[in-house]
Amino acid sequence: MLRDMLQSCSRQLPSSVQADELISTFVYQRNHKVQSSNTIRYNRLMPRRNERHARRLETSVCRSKYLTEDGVWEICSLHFDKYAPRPAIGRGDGLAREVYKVGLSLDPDGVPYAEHANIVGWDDKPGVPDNELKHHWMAKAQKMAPHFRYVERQNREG
Amino acid sequence: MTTTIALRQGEFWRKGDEYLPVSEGSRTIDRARQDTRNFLSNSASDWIPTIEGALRAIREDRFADNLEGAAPVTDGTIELAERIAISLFEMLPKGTAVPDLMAEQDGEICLSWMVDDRRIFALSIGDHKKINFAGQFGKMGEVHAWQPIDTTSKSALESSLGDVARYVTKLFPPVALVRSSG
Repeated sequence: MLRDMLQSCSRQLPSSVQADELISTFVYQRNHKVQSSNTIRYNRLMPRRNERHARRLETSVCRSKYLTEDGVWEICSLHFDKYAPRPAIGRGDGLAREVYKVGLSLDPDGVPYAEHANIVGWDDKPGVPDNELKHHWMAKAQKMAPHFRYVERQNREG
Repeated sequence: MTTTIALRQGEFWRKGDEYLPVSEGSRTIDRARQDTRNFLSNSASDWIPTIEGALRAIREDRFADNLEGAAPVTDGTIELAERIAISLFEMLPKGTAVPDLMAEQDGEICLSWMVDDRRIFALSIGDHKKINFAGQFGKMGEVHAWQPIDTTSKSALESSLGDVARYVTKLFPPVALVRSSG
């Protein structure tokens, strides 16, 4: 585990997220998994406003291509579980190309950990309230979600 | 407990546990056709307890999300979600599947119907007199929009939800009937 973390700190990641990169979003609610197709619900990909980035709309993801299985869950324990209502039960894995296909992009900000990125480029318009924009986000998230395969969390010690 | 399918001149339908003999004639057939507009027959009777249970769970869990940007679900949103769900239950064809309800990170409540991961319709309800909805209908296209809703009376609310009901119906087209050419 420690070795994964040290590798993670020293690794040089590509400055942009490649289309064939695997990205992950953590899932803490059982009903965010689509049982029949073993994918995730679109709700897990919906954006939030980040006050630290001038209220930019972002969906937080992990560039899991560069991590081992243990490394992904270590990041989940450190950076997701303690803020979520419950520890993650799994994650959704998808390729970055599905994000690009719907006209969104990825900002690999590397904060709060090296492999962190945000899905950005969500429809936003100054002066238009979120409750008149949200349908755009829903439509894009609905198109991406079927391409994010659900992976059950095996090690729950985190 | 068995489900019986009766066949007549290329038409078939399902009527729960009840067998409808072909000899009863066209009135029976028409009645059965109305009763079984899609394959999810008899599931609608379970809407209300399911909705109430889901909203109870949302109410109990609503302050738990501490992720950045999360907002709690208000009593007003829960109450509105219940009113909308009940209205849709009354508007939609008998047998329409019960929606999934879940709290969203922005404090709204999502009602969604999913046939498979490429056919989904969802609406998002917040305490602001507007709803957002989006649907993917496979080869039949997609839709997304927001609209105001009038909650001043039951009929006004139902009138506001007309488009939503049509889209949900589009997700569950009547598929029980196969017509013969003859």
